[in-house]
Amino acid sequence: MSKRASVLVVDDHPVNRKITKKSLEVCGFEAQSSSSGHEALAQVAKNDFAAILMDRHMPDLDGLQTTRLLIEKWGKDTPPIIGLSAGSAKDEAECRAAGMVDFLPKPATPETLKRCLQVWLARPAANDLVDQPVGDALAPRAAPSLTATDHARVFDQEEALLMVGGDTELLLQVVLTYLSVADDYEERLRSAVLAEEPKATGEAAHALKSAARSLSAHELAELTDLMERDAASMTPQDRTQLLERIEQAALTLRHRLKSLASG
Amino acid sequence: MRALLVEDDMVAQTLLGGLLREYGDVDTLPSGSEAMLRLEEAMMNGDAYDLICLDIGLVDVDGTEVLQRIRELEDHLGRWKASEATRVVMTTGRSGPKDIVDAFKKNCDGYLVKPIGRDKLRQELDRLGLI
Repeated sequence: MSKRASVLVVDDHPVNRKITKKSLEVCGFEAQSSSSGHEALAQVAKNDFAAILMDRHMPDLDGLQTTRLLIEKWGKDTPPIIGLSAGSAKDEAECRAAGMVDFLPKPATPETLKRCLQVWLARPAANDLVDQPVGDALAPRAAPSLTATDHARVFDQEEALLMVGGDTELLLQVVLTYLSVADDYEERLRSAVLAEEPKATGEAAHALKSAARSLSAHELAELTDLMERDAASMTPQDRTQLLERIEQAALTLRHRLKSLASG
Repeated sequence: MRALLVEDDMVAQTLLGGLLREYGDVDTLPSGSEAMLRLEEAMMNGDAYDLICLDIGLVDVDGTEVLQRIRELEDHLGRWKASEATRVVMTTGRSGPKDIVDAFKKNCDGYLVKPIGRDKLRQELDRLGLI
């Protein structure tokens, strides 16, 4: 980052706002703050923020509504919005569904904030990626720097090419098919987990696993396999935790595939 | 070779469909019920497929049930065990002994566990005398 990136903190609680702002400054970011959704809308119109940290629960306009309004107004020029809440996994799901790109549980330590923002501020411009719909709940995100082994765990390109007998055109079709259905598969899984329906969870996990296996996406295939086999015997908390890992793996995979498909 | 691929996952459909197209025409259907209708129609018209690739874990009718229906129809039409019987290969993520034994009991010709790549498919088609 050549110039110091400016981050907007939106939180109605004065103490929380101050702590988050201070944490950002400690990490080397320039920080501004808003005490309400309305104020945030006005500030985004005047300033070019690198990212926004958005409290989920606020009176009047809450974090979800504010996020939707920002995306409606600024489309793909909306800075990445990261949700903050002390609440449950449901909060995270709602934040992502509203269009936030990431979520941090409160209180977020300076280290957590820094790691999260580094990922987002290093991401490629949205228009470098293929077919990114405006306001996509799962907007583009940069994968943290990965080793070669990690890369192969996310998407084993060598194996995938072997599968198609070196037919890169067919591999591209498979990748594009995955990108066109992944949202739907993930949404089905998320709804089933949040509705605490183990049978539907197993079925949705199976669908995502099948797709991941066809792609040689080992990490996602293994995590969804675990969910498919053990959903019925897991506690709702365990299912939610596994869902989070699956969503993370799916996002990393999507990012990899999009950069491959556009390259 | 004329093949029917019954597969509800779009990604597996793209992959396997793409690989099968190397050997001829491929129709794809996403559900067991649609597959049964199509197969009945094709057989009645004397226009049977050379190969059917059947996923087992389909959302509506299980792949092994579709297999059973195919064999019943062929039996009815006096084709089963004749040389013109359709080759049915199960193409599935399930690798448990019960699924495999069950499929062979219902007279499948082959059983391929996903992921299925170009080499694995070619070997199977070769073994079945389809290529």
